[in-house]
Parts: sequence; C-alpha cells; structure tokens
Amino acid sequence: MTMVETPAHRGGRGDHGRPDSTPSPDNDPIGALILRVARNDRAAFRELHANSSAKLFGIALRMLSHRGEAEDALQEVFVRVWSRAHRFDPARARGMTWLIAVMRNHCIDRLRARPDLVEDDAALAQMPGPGATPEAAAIAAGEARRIADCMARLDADRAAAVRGAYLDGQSYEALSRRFGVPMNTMRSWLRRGLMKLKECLAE
Amino acid sequence: MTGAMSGTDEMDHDEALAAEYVLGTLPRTERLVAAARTRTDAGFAAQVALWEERLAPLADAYEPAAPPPDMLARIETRLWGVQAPEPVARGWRRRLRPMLIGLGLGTAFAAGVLIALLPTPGPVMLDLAAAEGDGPHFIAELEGAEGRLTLALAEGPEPSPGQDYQLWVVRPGGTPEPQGLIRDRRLAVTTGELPAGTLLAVSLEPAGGAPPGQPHGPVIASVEVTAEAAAGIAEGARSAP
Repeated sequence: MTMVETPAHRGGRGDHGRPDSTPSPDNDPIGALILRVARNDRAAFRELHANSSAKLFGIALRMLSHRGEAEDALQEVFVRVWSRAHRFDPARARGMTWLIAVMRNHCIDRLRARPDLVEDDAALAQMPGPGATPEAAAIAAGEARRIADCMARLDADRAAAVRGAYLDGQSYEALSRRFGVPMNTMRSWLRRGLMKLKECLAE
Repeated sequence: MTGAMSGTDEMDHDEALAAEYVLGTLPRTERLVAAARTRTDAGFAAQVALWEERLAPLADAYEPAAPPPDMLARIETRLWGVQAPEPVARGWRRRLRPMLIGLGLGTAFAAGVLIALLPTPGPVMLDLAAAEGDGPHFIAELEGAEGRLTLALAEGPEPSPGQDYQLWVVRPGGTPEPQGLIRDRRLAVTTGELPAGTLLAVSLEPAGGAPPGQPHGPVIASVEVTAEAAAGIAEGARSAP
C-alpha cells in the first residue's frame, strides 16, 4: 500500500493542493516520511529520526545552549512529531522546513518561559563572531544564495538582528539591549528588514 | 483589497505579525495569541507557512550535532512504553498468512486462532494541543469503531485541588458530551464512533466535573479528528479478518 495522498485529501484545510506537491522519496524524502508517520508507520518514524535528529539537535543546542535541555527538547519534539504528523501539509511546506519550524517554535517557547537574564546570557554566549558563520558554507544551494544575497542588502545591524532572532531565538528585549536601541526601534528595524527581505526574495 | 492599497514600506499588519512569529521575536503573550491563531485562522496560518519557507535557508547555519545514541529508545519508550511492539505488525501478519496457507497448516479454525493472536494495527494517537502555548496537553490513543479511547496528560501539571480536567466529545453538528474526569493523569473510556470532524476537548472544571450540560470552565486542550485519523481508528477495529 503506497501512501499516495494529495493535500486535498488531508483534512481539506486551506489550500487546494498543487498536484505536484505530494512529496515523494525523490523530491522531498523527509516530507514523504512524515506522511507515513501520520499513518502510524513506526518504521518511517525511525527512519525520520535517523535522517533529521542531528539537524534538529543542532538547532536545540544552539538555541538553548544547554545540553540537557536540548536533549529534553529533542525528545519532546519527536513525541510531538509522532502525534502531530497529520497536521503536516505538503502543499505548504517541505518536510524539513516543517520539522525545523516545530523545533524552533519549541525552543523559542522554552526561551520565553525562562527568566530574562538566563535568556540573555545564553543568547549572547552563542553569538557567532562576524564572518565566522557557517552560513557561508551553505550558499551552494540556489535558495540559500538568494537569501544570503538579500541579507547582504540589509544594513549590517539589521541583518545581524534578523540572524540573532532566527538562529538564537533572541527576543526584542534581548536584541534592543544588544544593539542599544529602544524596543520599538528594534521592532520597526526588524519589520522593515523583513519587508525588504520579502521584496528582494520576490525579485 | 487591503494589500492593493498598502504602500511599499509598510507590511500588512497580519503579515508582519506572521513574520515576527516565525522569527520568534514576539513577546510571550503576543506569541501565545499568534500561536493560537495559526490553529484557528487558515489565512494567518498560510502566511506563517510562507514565512517559514522564506526564512528556511537561514537554518542552514545550524550545525548538525549527533544526539545521544539512546535518544530514539528514550523517545520510543515515552511514546509506546518499554515493551514497544515491533513496528512491522501489519507486514508480519501479511507475510504469515500465505505461509500458513502454503504450509497447509490445518483448519480454518487453527488459522483463525493464530491470526487473532497476532498484533492488530496500532491505535491512532492524537495530540490534544494546549490552548495556551505551554499549558497542559494530552495524548489520546483511539482504537476501534466503538471508539476505545485512552487519554493521558502528556505534559503539564495536574489540576489544582478543587478542580478536575474533564474530557468532552463534540461530534460534527452535535453538542458537547462529557466523557469523564482525567484523574491520576489518565482516563480510559469508550466513546462510540468518532467520525471525521469530531472535536476532542479537555476543559478545566470544578472538582467532580461540570454541571450537566455544557463545559463551564475554559477549554485547555483540544484536537479535531481528521478524516485520516477517523479511518485509522476504524481500521484498528478490524483486528482479525
């Protein structure tokens, strides 16, 4: 029994599925595994773990900067993936994008639940030095190059704020302290930065 | 029409909110509200998904790191208990059946007994997501056309003294039907058929549960039974052919 399943069959929510968006082991192997997990396929769950846990653990380590907590987060995220796989909509996201969103959201929720000081220290301790970002290694892929190009068009401070928020989960409070600007200023910096990014990516 | 009029240097409010939600910068309360909207507002959820895709290449900067070698075992223990059955139950049964026939092993009675003893398709697991970001959430295991349901408090505190968590089933077009109180973090009930679109919800009630009729307290976690889940639950009932 193959798991051919178009998004239109998956709860009928929202999008009228693009016919080419059903993930196959070729075009989106992770997405294909998640669809199998949604059908309670434990073998697929193990395969998914084998193929994505290192990336997800890397995210948890960087965002939470605490090994024990990162292990808890990884465990929690895989429990959620098992029970929420049916919410994965291949018309909207690729499998890995979805997993990364689940992990980042979980880490951000943990960070926001921490007392401020811990969060700041953790986030600041994790800031990569300028130029040392491993992002450079990733620009081979066309999309990564595009977002890197677009990030480069932002003011350096604003690009750094976007990265600090996305990669390290820094809050407006933490970012405004780090850049020495009021929170409202930081918020409009980031909003404008994101809008420019969107326009640039749409070009 | 809103989008057509907006200038180039201001994003639509919802779009900005979706971007900030994905970036993760929203203050805690705003974040909780936005997270709840992704579950109830399809348009907002679509904007969030778009931003997830736009920003996804930034995630290339996360260096993979090997998790502890026993991580999968820990996760499986949490999901399925220590004695997790082999995941290939269905395949095993499919393989065994022709084998029984091939070996000419006796009567239909013997085969029937053997097959009935083999593992059945597993229960469908549904996560009752917390209404508030880090509120309690529950995992329901559902199996069989008669709706055998086991609910466990997966994460979060037990209710305060003087309060109870109560489970409700709301079938499409129906009214909430109380199913029982979740005591010692668990509840096992038989709900009857659970068609697609049924809502499972847990509310916080005074000790002993809500007065007859409707849930009185706030709904703290819920999930909708998708068509896929409904089919899986019914499939779990066909244990022996």
